[in-house]
Amino acid sequence: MRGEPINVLLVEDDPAHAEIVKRNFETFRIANRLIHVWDGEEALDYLYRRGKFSDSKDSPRPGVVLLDLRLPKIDGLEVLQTIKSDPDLRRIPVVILTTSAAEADKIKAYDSYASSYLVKPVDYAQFVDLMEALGYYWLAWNDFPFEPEND
Amino acid sequence: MMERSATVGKWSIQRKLFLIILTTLLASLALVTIGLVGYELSTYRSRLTQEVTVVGEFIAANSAPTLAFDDAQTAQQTLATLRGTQSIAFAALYTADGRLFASYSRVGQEPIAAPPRPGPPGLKFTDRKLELVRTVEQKGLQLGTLYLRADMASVYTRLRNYIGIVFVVWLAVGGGTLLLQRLLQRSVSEPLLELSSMAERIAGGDLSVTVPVRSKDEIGLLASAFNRMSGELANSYKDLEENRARLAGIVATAMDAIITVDAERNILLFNSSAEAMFRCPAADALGSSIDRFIPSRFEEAGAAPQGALGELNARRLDGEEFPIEASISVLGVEGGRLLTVIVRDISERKKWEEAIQASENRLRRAEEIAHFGYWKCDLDTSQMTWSDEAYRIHGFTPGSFQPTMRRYRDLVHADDREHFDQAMKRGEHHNFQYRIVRPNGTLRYLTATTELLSNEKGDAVALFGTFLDSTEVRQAERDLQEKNAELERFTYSVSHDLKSPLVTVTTFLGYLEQDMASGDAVRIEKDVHYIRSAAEKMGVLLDELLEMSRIGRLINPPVRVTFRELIDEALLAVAGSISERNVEVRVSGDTFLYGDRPRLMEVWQNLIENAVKFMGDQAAPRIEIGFEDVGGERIFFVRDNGVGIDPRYAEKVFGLFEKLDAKSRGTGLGLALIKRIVQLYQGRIWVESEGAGRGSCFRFTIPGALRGVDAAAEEPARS
Repeated sequence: MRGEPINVLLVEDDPAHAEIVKRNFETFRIANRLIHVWDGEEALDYLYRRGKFSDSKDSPRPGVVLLDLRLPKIDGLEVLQTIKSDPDLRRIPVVILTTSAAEADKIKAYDSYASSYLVKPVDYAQFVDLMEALGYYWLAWNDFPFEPEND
Repeated sequence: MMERSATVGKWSIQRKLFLIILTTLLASLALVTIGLVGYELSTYRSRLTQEVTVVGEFIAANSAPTLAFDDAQTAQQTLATLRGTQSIAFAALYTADGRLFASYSRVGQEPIAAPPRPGPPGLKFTDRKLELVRTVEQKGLQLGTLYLRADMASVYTRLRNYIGIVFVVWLAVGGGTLLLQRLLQRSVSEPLLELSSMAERIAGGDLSVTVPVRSKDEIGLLASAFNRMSGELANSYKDLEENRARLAGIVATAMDAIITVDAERNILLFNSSAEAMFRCPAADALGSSIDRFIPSRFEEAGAAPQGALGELNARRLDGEEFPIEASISVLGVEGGRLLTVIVRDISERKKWEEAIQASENRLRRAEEIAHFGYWKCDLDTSQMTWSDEAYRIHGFTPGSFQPTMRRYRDLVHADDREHFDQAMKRGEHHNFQYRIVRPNGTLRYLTATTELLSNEKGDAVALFGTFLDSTEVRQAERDLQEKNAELERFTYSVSHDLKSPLVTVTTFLGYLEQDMASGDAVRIEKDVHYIRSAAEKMGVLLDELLEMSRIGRLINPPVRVTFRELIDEALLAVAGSISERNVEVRVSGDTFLYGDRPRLMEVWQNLIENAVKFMGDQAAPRIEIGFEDVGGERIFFVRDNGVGIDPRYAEKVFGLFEKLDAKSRGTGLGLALIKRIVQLYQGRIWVESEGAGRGSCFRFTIPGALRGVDAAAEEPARS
């Protein structure tokens, strides 16, 4: 079990859903920093430290990416594929967090080397449980290779 | 003359032969007789003379002694030896002094007075008698004179004898001939008679006779020739008989009707098939005119030379008309012409022909309707035969070229050739598909099946197959697939985008419970806000979904409306946001439009809404609305100087549920909706933007709304 807090990049276009994740992370004090971007373009800009994220201090490398599938500008799947085909970024685990339970989406996600696929539950209690488990699993239990930039 | 020879001609050969022989013999005898008689008569004188001289000499010599001795008795006896001669009628001996010494007279002779004195010696012919006077001498001494008188009596006797003999001979000959006739009969006239009676029998019809050949002469030759002839005749007759029988058999059993008519077209022969065909017994038909059965055109044909008449109409006894095929042959006979007509009832055949024709027509029509062609390929020659529709499917006029397997391959789309080759090699194949390129360059999809045709030995001789032009079907399939895909996308999108707000609602309800319990008013307000906006979103989403589903049907009846009217309405609907954002709106131009008014209005409303929504930080927000005529098209535009659109995403903007800005209000349906409407009016829509902060210009065409309105000609009055 690791103790160091890590950075989480949340890629989510729905403000309400982003709010839910934020609140949960606060509750469970999981992350050091939760960075929220609104679409696929921003997500890649962040990871490549370009555009409005050129300042590396403001854009620390995330330890895990929470990725919604349906995103404006650049689709979630495309973001996933870009990350996983880049030798520099592909070690970052990408967890799909989406409302879609469609089989096709799951297949495509795993085919593109998604590390996990989570479906947002419609039930409040379940969502809370999920967030908690998510936090503990990925941030507490899961181990990462040492990355010097990881602050 | 004629009559006489006619009469003679009637005599039998027997009689003729007999008469010939007889006449010949008798004629020759007569000639002989005449010859002899003639000879006699012509030579009797000299003969007599000679005889008398010799006799005289003899008598003289013999009588000399008698005279010498004056022996009158012996002299008388010596003279009496003249009895032996016929010709001496009288003889007298005179002494030297001339006195009658002895005399002789032929028996039966009329007494002839002796000349008293003998004349001078010598011969004297007088009046049919010959007188000889000579001397009788002995040792040179005349002793006396001899007088002889000869007459014709002997000649006459002789002649009489000749005639008698001849007469007898004639009789003998006659009798002999009669006897000879018997022989003749046997060797000549009997065989001839036999021959002639045989001939009679043959003439009478009995061909079985043969004549015995008994001799090697002309009669024998005749007999054997006769036999040969009668044999030949018998054969000819047999052949004739056979032919006749065969012909009769043919006529009787022929399935076609055979009718023979004379020059006046009266029926002489009406075979059983004719009886059946015309439903008239032969007895009824014979003697009547053929016009009853084959009217009118037959007349012309009757005058024509023989041959096929082609198709005519004939009539049965009961009047029913039916189609026939007929042919005529003409035979010239003594006293005129015989026409033989052979008739075939083709009503069945015609029915079948019509049925086949109708069936073919149906097939052809079916082919055309179904865009279906069939073909056959001969495996030996690689020659193909195509149906008319097959030609059309491939873009050729029927029959315009001779298809071969090789040439066909050239028609197959390059990418499909291998597939095609494999299918062809396999022989039997069901429903394999390939593309062809028509001569005019268009692409067609074909579905083909093939089947191997074999001969009796089981060897494959041909490929038979069908083509079906399945291009339209393919297109429809593709369209359907597209529609299905779109539906799937749609459903997917819908479920996702409906689910999202639902998750929000339930989760924030949970938070709300917590926050109400803890009394955190700030949080409560936030929670409620999220819940409300999520619910609203769901509402809007459902409305727009309904709208989308309705887009497929333009439910309002088309009306004529001006461009300005629509713009005014749209601006009114967005008035709030416009004034809030302080947007300047410029409208130019006017034209008539014809279509579903609310839908058309929606197009501008959505565009204006978007323009206002995406003004961003623009200090002097401005929207321009109008249209331009470019390249023969009327292109409408809505231009803004707002945040613009990243050119990379210019296409995506029109996608279903695509929002380029997550934070913005709206469901992302607006532009997809507009695109649908524009497409329904056969138009297209696109956006031009140089990028972030450079504004954007949406352009679209709606040709379908400009039809029914002479847009160029009419310009409504500008307000």
